[in-house]
Amino acid sequence: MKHKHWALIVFAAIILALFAGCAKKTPPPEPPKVETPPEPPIEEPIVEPEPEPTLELKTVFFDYDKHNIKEDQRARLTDNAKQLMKFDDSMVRLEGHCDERGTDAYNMALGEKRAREVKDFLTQYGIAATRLQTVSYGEERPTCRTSNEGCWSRNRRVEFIVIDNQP
Amino acid sequence: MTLSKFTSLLILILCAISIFAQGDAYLRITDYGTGVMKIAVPDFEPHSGDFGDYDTIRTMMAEVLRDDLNFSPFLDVVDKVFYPVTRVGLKEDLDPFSWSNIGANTIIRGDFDTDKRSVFVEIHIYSISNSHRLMKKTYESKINQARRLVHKISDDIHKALTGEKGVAQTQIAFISDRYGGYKELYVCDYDGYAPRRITNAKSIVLSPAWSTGGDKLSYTSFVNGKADIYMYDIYKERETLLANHPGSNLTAAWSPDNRYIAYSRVCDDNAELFLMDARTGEETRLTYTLYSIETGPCFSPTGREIAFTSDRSGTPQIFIMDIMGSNVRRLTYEGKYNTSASWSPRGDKICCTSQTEFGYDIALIDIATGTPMYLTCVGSNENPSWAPDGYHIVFSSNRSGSYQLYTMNWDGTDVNRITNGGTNKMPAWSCRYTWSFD
Repeated sequence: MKHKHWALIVFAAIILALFAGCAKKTPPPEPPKVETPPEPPIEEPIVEPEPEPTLELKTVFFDYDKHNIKEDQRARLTDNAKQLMKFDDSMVRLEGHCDERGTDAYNMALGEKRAREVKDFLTQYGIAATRLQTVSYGEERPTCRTSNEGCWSRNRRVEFIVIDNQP
Repeated sequence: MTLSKFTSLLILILCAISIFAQGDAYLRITDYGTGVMKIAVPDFEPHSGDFGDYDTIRTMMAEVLRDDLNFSPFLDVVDKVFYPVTRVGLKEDLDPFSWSNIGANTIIRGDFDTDKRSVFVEIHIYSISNSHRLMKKTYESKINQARRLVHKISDDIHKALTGEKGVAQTQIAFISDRYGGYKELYVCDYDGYAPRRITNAKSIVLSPAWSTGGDKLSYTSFVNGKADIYMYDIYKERETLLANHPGSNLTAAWSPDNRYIAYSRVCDDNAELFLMDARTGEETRLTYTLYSIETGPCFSPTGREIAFTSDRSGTPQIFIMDIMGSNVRRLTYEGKYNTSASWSPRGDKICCTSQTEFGYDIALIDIATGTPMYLTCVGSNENPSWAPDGYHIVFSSNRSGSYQLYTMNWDGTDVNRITNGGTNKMPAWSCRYTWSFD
């Protein structure tokens, strides 16, 4: 029995010595320093931040002395409506205008009607009425001033002006 | 022989007297009558000596008096180049033969004096046919009010000759962009003289209307970003808000008793007519259409009816209803566009802006028959407004290339341009004032 104990101790001592020997080994010489150029930074493909999608609302035009939405204007009005559904926190002011013909006073009322027709279309599409303001400028704010149909047709319009949420 | 010569001479004299005795120097005006009295208005006589620079005031006053009297459709002032004498100082200058040769049967003689602070004018009206003096009156004012004094003199002469006052003591309100391009409210004399700016909205002002006494003006202003109705007190020089309901508040008009203001505003999503109590602001709704525009109200001179524009029949036309909104009937059936009604103070006619095959013209509608008569034919003509005499109309026209104001007789004759700078539109003729010069 005592032999086993002694054997164990000797064995442990040998193991210890080996380890000590290992520990005392000198570290391997450092490899010679070689000037390597710094590694170029990894070129990650430049990802532009996604552009803030903006509202691009088109002006809607009308026939002379009329306030109903024309067939050929429905597409752009529907497109405006889709955008407004998507950007559902924006507020818009609908500005009604007329061409110069006829009296200023009646044109104020006609411009108001045009703005409200557009508002009706948009609310029926599903846009909250509280997001839509209307104002009429009659014939008082033309975009052009020549007296011909080319200019008149450009003035018979409702413009979409995006306004800040802040009051 | 002698007797027959004497007889023939007597006959000749009697004939001569009867010829001159024909023209009575009082013209009774019948509605729209075309009788015209020819009058002479020589330069005012200087009362004493030489006035130096102030002599121009003496000549100016007679010039303005001639223009004021000529403005009447019942008076025709003979041009002074035809006068037999240039100075009418003494009774002897009123030789009936020489004056009646030029067709005049009445002479207005004025004596002028000034102490360089005030002007003094004594006016005599003489009937040429019997050298009778019809009127003698003295007038006085500060020097800088001399032109206004002439307007008062003219109205008095008009009344002496025709029984009705003239309209020289009136004002015209209108919209002009002559100041910085902004559309602001202005007021000028009936002949366009002395325009002065009333509002400072720096935006858009529209549709002026006078209160019946001429002491207030209502109008639509964008001073707060949208079309709201305001009122300006001429004497207190103060602007107050009348109506700012959501949507456009448009075309205010005063009832003849000043008790109500009629106007157009949005209700149930379309433009409707309302009455506002001028004292309390309380509103009464007059129209209940769902899809049509109702705008441009104008009271009848009795205050019992309102003419207005509506497109309820498909296109804008003039309608008439009782003041509380009942008994609506259509007035205009010719043309596809009739707006901006103005009711004559004489009650029987309404003029409006009408679209014809030639463009936009002023139409005169006989209310009883609904028959229109077109008063203009050149350029685009809009927004007529009656003078308080019911014989003159002011309107805007672009016949010169830009919109300017013009006056004319009720039948479209004697068109007179009264504005120059900028664009001038939407005129409104005031009541008659009685100016005092204390």
